[in-house]
Amino acid sequence: MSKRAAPVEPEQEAQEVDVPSDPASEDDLIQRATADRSAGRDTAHQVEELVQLAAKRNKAALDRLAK
Amino acid sequence: MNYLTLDDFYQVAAEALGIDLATVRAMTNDTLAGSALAAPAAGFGDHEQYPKFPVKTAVLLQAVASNHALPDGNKRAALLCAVLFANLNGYRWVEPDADDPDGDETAEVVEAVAMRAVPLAALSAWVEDRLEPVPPPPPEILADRPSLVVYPAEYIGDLAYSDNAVELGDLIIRDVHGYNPAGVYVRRISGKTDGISVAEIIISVVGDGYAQEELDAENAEAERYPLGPKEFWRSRLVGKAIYGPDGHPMTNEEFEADWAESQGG
Repeated sequence: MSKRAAPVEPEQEAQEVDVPSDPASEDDLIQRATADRSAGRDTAHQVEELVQLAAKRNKAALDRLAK
Repeated sequence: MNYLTLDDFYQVAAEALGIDLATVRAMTNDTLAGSALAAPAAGFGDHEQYPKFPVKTAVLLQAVASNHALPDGNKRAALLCAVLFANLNGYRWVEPDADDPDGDETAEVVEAVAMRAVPLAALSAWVEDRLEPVPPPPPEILADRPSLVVYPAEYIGDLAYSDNAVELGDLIIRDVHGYNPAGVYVRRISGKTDGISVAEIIISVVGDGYAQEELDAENAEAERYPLGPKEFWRSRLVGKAIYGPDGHPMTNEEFEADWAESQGG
């Protein structure tokens, strides 16, 4: 049986990537991610940023869904 | 259309549950997750079952919330999948001002979706209210591009023409008017990046813009010539310039006569 890694707090992971806080940076991130994904380029890091940004923007709803 | 992959789903689930990717991969039912992620792309041949983007997003939200690919956190994953799907297709996910700021409406809708209590049309409309297309990036303006280096045109040689036409291999340039022969110049235009390098080939006859441009440049050079402009032109013309109806090389006497005439003598 393989040993599972210890759970990581979301706040801890959020520090690993630079999540944009202003709309222009967010737009830029979305544009780049969309273009790169459409072109078949690697978007793993952008997805990580977008997911963290989505979690931040929808924190209240996510917290309620977690109850 | 950029559909979500299993790796996207793992990333979403890791964020929703606050656990690492390895744990998410171990606990995810890939078949159920894959089925949910593929739902928006359903169709047959060229026919798409859900051609409209808000409907695709609603289908994804519904499928992830109700397929239970994770032992826990499927509703949170569903919401994040919908937002990520929107983002990867050029949309922001923005809650309308009318929404409660504490996330109540979103949570209630996702809860209801997980119980399949929301018709797809209503959910699609709800999703559409939250999708804002990100404006395309502004066009690259010329000022932001690396500047081009335009070199002075270099004289290559003369090209004889007849019947007002110049023949260059298979190419025939007609309506060439001026004194025979025409001067041929090449001007190089290079970019500082991207390896851009093009050449402009100029076939110049007396009286056109390029000939005047070259003449102006030569006059400026003549003014700077240590022995003065007259000697500059003598070195350029005598024995080299084609002169007279028979096309003979210009003699020193002819140069002196022309020079005196050009100086008002």
